[in-house]
This record gives sequence, structure tokens and C-alpha cells, in this order.
Amino acid sequence: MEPLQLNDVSVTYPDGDSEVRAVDHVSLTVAAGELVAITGASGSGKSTLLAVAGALQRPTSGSVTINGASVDDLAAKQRTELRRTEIGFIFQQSNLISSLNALEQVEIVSHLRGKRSTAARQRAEELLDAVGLSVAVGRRPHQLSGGQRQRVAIARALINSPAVLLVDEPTSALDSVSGGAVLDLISRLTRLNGTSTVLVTHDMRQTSGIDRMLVMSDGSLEPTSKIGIIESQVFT
Amino acid sequence: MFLALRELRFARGRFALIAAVIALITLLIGLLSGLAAGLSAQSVSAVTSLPADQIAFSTPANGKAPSFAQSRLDEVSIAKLRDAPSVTSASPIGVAQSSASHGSQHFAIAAFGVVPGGPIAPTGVAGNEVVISSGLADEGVKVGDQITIGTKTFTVAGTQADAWYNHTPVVYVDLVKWRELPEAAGAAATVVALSTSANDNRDALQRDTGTTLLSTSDAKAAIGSYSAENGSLSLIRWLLLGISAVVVGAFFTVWTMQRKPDIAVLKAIGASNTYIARDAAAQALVVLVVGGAIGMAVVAGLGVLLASVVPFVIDASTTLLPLGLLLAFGMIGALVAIRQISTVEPITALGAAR
Repeated sequence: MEPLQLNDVSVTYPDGDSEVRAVDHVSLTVAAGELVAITGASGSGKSTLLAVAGALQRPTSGSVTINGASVDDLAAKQRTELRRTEIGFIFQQSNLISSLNALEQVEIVSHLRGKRSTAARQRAEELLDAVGLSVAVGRRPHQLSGGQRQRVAIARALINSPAVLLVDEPTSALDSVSGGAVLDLISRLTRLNGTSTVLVTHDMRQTSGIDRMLVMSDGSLEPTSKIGIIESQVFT
Repeated sequence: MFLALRELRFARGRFALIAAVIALITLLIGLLSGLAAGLSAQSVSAVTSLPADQIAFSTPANGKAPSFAQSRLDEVSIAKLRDAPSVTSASPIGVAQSSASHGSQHFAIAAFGVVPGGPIAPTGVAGNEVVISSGLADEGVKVGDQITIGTKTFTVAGTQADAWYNHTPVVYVDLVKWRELPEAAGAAATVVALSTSANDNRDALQRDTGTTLLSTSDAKAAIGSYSAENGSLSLIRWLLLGISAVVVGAFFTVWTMQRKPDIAVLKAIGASNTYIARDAAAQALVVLVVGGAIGMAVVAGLGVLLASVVPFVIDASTTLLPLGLLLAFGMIGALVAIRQISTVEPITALGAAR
């Protein structure tokens, strides 16, 4: 069984007398070590799909399976535990905790799992080294560049060796050089760690290392052949 | 504590400010507690230090509470109390607010009439010889000096340790001489200090003797000034504790609101409500302990200086107890504020999710 499976997932929101279908009967399977990119216009449902895949939101219908476990019937507490053990998140603005330095940003995830050993700290240092930040371990978010912050977020997402890595617009606040470096890093670590990675992005300039590119439109996942059409919708 | 300590370090200015506020509130509560205890001691120490477990008062009319000012016992009542089977010792005491003259000096005093040689009487009280408490000795009255109470002159035969009644130093006089004071108003005694057997029946004893019994501790309330002073100071103290809860609660409400984006991220990456709330509670406790300890250290220092000028008591009941109450009230305020952690949705970490 693949680490991430979404089967016929829909998410609807009430909108006055009618309803908005943010995600419309989406099925998606991501294999271990595979990097799937989802692009699309703002409001197309990309982030909602990511929230459902990350057990942050229940779908209105359909089912989600993460590393063989069905998420659908889990209580909030169990969903939290699932996120802690099986899922890594990389957010749009890196979302680092302002009071922690780079090393502590990564280390705190081990603390959440009750790991307070020297080994956990060592693992955090190794990961920061792997993302090229060994010289910045003591720096707080405001002392890091945008690209460095995203690399800390990548290390934080990977410290617990998650089965699934969910990445939300990681390059939206970065220049093309930094953005490209971050995407390369995500791609490389996906293969190295064997994670199932879903990358939501507006940025269609960087496609190297992406195994599959999907396009979301009005809540539905479109085949890649329509990229050209969607590209014109996104960038015009 | 992983996050709590690092946030304390990161936002040290904000936390120092709230710790300073806590320290100031602690200072106020501590000073008030020390002063209240000091005033209380100057009001009731002569009564609370009596070697007795019950005090018998004449029963006031109209169901009013007994008071030293109103109580008048005659010889019949005293004899009934003395003869009661459950009473092991009965010592009549005359209590009168009076004035004493020592040369050109005049003092307000409390004249306590006691039976010479009885369990209540300090050694030296007999006939025209009286024993003064240290409050009067501090004014320059010495053993061997003569003092005049009312129209009668007495010789000071000894000094008793601290004994105050209604903010006046106590002078122990022979009960027979006390009855001759105009303030005695013909009473044989004001109250009777009783030692009773463990199986005494208070209701039966009150009924049989026509008196009202209060424990030595409860008898404090029968001193008019004590109830008024203590009530006001206690009210202020409880209000300050309430204010501390509100101040800490308000600070942590704002602090939690500021942290909401961080809390959402923590939840998204797998932190439970319990983990975050426990961390925040530990943070509140650190702030309260640090602020409270600083405030109480200042109270102890000031207390030593103040004790020579005003009635001020420094002991566990005026330092550790109010500090403990402050911590408890502060934590209640903090926990109410911290509750909002559970309302933060982790999905908000994904900024564009909705």
C-alpha cells in the first residue's frame, strides 16, 4: 500500500443557500520516494486538498489513508498523533517559531514525541547540516534569509522521518535562485528518505526533480496535458 | 518547559514587566499582611495568649454577639462556672479600658483584673502591686516605679512579655483592686477564662451557667476594634489577590493571542493541546514565582525596618501564606487565559486553506 492515498475526496463549504465545492471527487496516490506537484490558480482548492491529506481537516466525503492507516474515523487527538509521527509539513511562509533558533526549531519536533536525548539533538544538527545550515544553528528566524528559513522548515519537517511530506507554496516568498535551491533540496530529500511528497505551488518555472505535475482547477485534479492551458490561467 | 523557557528568554522584556507587576502586588499584599498581623497582635494578644480553651461572656440581650465591652459577670455566674463538672479551671478576668499616669506621662492602658496566684496572673500581682506588659515598659516605666490608674496608685512589681488589648498595653492588677476602678461598673469580672475537659458539652455548660462561651481564638471577634480593622484589611488583601488573578489572566490572554500563529504551527506539526497548555502553565508559574519571590524578599527587608516603627509581623502567615495564595490566584487567572489554546485550529497554519 502506498504511503498516501486519497480516494474520491470532496470538501464542500456552505455558502448562503448553496455550497462551494473546494475539492471535487479527487483521488490521488503518492508512492514512497515520489514527488507530486500540484499547481493551479488561487482558490482552486490546492491548500484545502493539502489540509485534508495532512489530517488537518476532515473531507466531506471520500477517504484518506496515510501509511496504511485510515484517517477518516480518527479523533482529533489521534489525528494530532498521526501528524506528529507520519506527516511532515513545510508551510508557505516557513512558519518558524519566533522564539527558537534554527536548531531548536528542528529539535522541538523530537520533544513533541518525548525524545529529549542527545541523539535527538545530534539528528537535528545532522539535518541542518544536510540542508546546508550547519553554520546558522544558533540563529533565530529574523536572523535568517527567506531561503534559509525554508531550509530550516525542511529540516523540521523531516526530523521524524515522516512517511508523507506536505509542502505548501515553499517558494512563494523567495527569488528564483533561492526557490530553485529549495525545490531541489525537497526533491533530493524525498528520494533520499523515501517520503511521499505532495508539493503545492504556483511556481511552474521549476520542474526538475518533480515526478508528476498535476493541475487543480475548481476543486478537480486535471491531467498534466492541460498544463499549458492552466499555465495561461495562472500567469495571465 | 522546552518552549516555555525559550519564550521567557526571547520575550524577556515583556515577562520582566509582568514579573515586576507581580512583585509589586506581592509587596502590597505582604505589607498589608504584616501590618494586619501586627495590628491584630496589638489588639488581641492578651486574649489569645490566655492559658485557657474557652472564654465565658455574659449573654447579651437581643441575640447579639458577645463582646468584652458589654460583658459583665457576677459572683453567682463565676461560681457556677467554677463548679461545673466539665470545667477544670475557671479564672475570672476583669477587663477595663483605662488610663495610667507615670509622673508627667499619661498612657491609655487596658487594666486586666486577675486573681493573684491564679493560672492567668503573672507573678507579682497582688494587692497594690501590678505587672505591666512590655508596651508600657518601652515607654520608660520600670519595676519599682509607681503608676496611677484612676485614683489608685500601684507599684510596678514586674514586667510581662508582649500583651496588648485593643491597641493598648495591658497592666495586670489584683481583681479585688480592679473591681474598685470606676470602669468596672460594679461587675465581679468581665469574662471567665476556662479550661474544660475534652468531653465537655458546651451547650449544656452555657445553659447551666447563663453564659456564652467562645473559644480563645474566636474571642478575638469579641474585641470591637479587631473585627473592624481585620475585616477591612482582609477585604483589601482579598481584592489584591483578585487583582493579581485578573492582571496575570489579562497578560496571558494577550500573550496567547499573540502566539496564536505559533500555536497553530505547533498543533499542525503534532503538538497536543495538553503539551502546549502545560508549557504555558509552567511559563505562568515561573513568572509568578519569580515576581512573587522578589516581592516577598522586599517585604521581608522592609518588614525588619518597619517593625520598629509600626506594628508589623513577619512570619509564615504574613509571607509564605500570602505568597502561596498569590501563586494560586495568579495560576487561576493564567489557566483561564490558557484555555483559549484549545480553540486554535491547526489548519490556520496553512494560510490559504480557506
